[in-house]
Amino acid sequence: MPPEPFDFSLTTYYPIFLFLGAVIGFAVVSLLLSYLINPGRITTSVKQMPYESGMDPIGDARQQFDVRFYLIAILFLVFDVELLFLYPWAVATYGEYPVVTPSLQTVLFWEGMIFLATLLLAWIVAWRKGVFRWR
Amino acid sequence: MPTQEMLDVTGFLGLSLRAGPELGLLALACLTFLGGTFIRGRLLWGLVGVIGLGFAAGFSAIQSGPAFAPTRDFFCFDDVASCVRLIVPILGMLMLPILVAEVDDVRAADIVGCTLCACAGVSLTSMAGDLVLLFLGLEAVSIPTYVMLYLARHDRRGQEATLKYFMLSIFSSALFLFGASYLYGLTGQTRLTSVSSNGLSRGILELLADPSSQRFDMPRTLAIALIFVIAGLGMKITAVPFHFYAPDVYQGTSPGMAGFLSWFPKAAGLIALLRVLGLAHGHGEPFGGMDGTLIWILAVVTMTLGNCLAIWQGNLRRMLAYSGVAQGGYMLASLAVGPATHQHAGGVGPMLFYLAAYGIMSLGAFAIIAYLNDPEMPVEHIDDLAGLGSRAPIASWSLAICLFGMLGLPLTVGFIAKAQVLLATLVSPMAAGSSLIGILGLLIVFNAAVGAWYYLGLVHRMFLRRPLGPQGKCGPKVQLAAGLVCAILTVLLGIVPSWLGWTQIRQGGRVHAIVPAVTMVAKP
Amino acid sequence: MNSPDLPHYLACAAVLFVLGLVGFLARRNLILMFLSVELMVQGVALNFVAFARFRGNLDGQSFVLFMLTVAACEAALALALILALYRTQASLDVSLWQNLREDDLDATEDDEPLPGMMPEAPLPSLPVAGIAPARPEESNRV
Repeated sequence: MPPEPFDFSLTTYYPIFLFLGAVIGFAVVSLLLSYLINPGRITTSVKQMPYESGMDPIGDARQQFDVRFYLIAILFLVFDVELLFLYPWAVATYGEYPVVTPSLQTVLFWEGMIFLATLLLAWIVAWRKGVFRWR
Repeated sequence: MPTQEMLDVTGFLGLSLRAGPELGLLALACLTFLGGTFIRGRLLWGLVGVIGLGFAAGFSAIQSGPAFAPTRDFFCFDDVASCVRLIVPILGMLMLPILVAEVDDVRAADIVGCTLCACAGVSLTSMAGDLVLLFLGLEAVSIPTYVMLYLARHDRRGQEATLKYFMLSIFSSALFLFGASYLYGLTGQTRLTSVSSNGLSRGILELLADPSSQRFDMPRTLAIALIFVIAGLGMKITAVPFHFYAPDVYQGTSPGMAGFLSWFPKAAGLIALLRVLGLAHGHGEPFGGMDGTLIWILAVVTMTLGNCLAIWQGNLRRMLAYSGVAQGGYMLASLAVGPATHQHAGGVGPMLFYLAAYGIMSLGAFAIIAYLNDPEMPVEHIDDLAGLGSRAPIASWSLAICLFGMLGLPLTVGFIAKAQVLLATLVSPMAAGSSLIGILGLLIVFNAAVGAWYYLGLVHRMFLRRPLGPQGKCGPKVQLAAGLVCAILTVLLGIVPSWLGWTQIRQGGRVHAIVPAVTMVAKP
Repeated sequence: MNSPDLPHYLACAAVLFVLGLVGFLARRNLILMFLSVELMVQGVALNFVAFARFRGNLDGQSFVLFMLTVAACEAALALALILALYRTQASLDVSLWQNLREDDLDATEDDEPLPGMMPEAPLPSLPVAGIAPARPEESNRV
């Protein structure tokens, strides 16, 4: 079997490139204009500070997340990856052109259920370990 | 597309049943993680783990009957697989008590679950007929190892050890994947085997000899693939350019965990190398070319540098780490001999024998060190063992026997293992063609002599020196028992090595016993 | 415009891989080191997909699925581990972790602190509205 040539071509994407050009152009032009027409460059510490509508700024614009969110993020990964397998599993088992015989479909269905049960188990372990407790 | 391969139920379920021990171990690991959150207790979960591994070993032993016909299956149930699938649960049963005795009740279930996962991972690697399964098997060893490193010891040093192992391990698995992607691109399949015209399995590297589909500059692209794959696996084997983490990690973690690291990841790496290079199948012709040369260089550098650096170490676990590097070098030397051919039993059998023997000896040594380690007064420096012979005679004799085994003294299983590797190099058909393999044999002898220096130095400290200071208390008796069992096995298998000889390799209608290969090499 | 062919994809993947490799070796921030490895893995994934397209089978694509899963597992572990390490050292600098080394080897000293680890200058405060700003008092009046 000869390898299929790549039929993908960047030309289909030219509206996106036009749009990208317009966006970048706008950003550059507006920055350049404000640089050119500003009256003078006197900087004081008050001028450099973050603008918070006349209030004293409270801290930095960069905020650190609470550590407790990290636990949720780790747990999220379990269910994030689940979907990665469920789509191919569903398409291969029940798709328009299933690659398996009908009798194997039953087996594969329970196989998928076992996969989901494993995830449930991981969730219970996390629950028992106190991941959801907001300490 | 070629004809759509329809999977059928019986084949699918049959394969799942054949992989039963591994699937069972993984399921048991999941249940252990879950159960550990409800019931705590070292004794309970340790027993659950040991019984599970016992069942896995029994199931594998029943299965390891006649070898299956060569196939292109996802799972590859050949002699190498049946051999490894028997060694791994048995060593896991010896490993579990050592590890469980080191942790408290809260962490016991987790460490048992991780050990079960890692055992299943080594087994899965050994029966991988596909790059995907090979990669998953390797990761099923690595990922629990990261967790176990942290569970076993999480003070500052333990954290540093975990960090070093984790970072370098994910780095090396990225290198392995890069090589694997090129292997896939070159062959157009992720299967590691193919069936040749005369009905024998062969490795994918031989597929590349086919002149069809020469779109790439083959030798150069293959060189990229092989170098990256070997670099990625070399980290797990602790082959020398990639060994830097080993002494630090062994020093930073607990003694039992160091024992785990000394065998399980190393075995997974070596077996994966064997699978990728297609050595399990036998070429019917001498091994050579670029893959052979790369392994040869790696073996020579690994055993020589490992032994020479071990001499200078003052820290006990660092010394044993370098000794483990050197032992990995002997196994690589055995792989460099190549697969079985019509005239020659090859180096794969001796490698597997050496792997089993090294596992027993190494676990024994680390079990005794874990037993002697008192958290108040840790055994860190080699001089801490001074005068041990009078204080703890059973422990010191067990440790001495394991060290004699690693050195390769007669009447231990280490001697038989080294002799097999040596014989495999000396009578290899390649030894006549090129002097490289002959030089390898000489270097093995030279390295065994260098190794005597530091192994005997330890024995000398234990029995002929006086203790330097106050001595710590000994640990749980179960670790002593594990060490004692390992020492007894070391001697027993050294006297009756055929007890390890449970499997054969078939090639071209002829039977080549791969373990023990001593008898086979004598009558080609 | 030429449509990209296999070598283009391979070159792009190799560039990603090498960027990750250099990042892993050169960075000192633990999280950035981990992200560099992820970059390497993504390069490999691109390789697999390009080869799968070139070979006309799905082996490579299914490999990528498993690779991503393993990468997610590693990400979870990395987050947990780095968090624990941060609690110990209050820093993400990897050069703080070199207590384990050969006896005769000195620790690698790096004078330059990690970016973002310097204490920042205190923020200025605005004069309160409606009140005349404070002036320096003149010392000698005529």
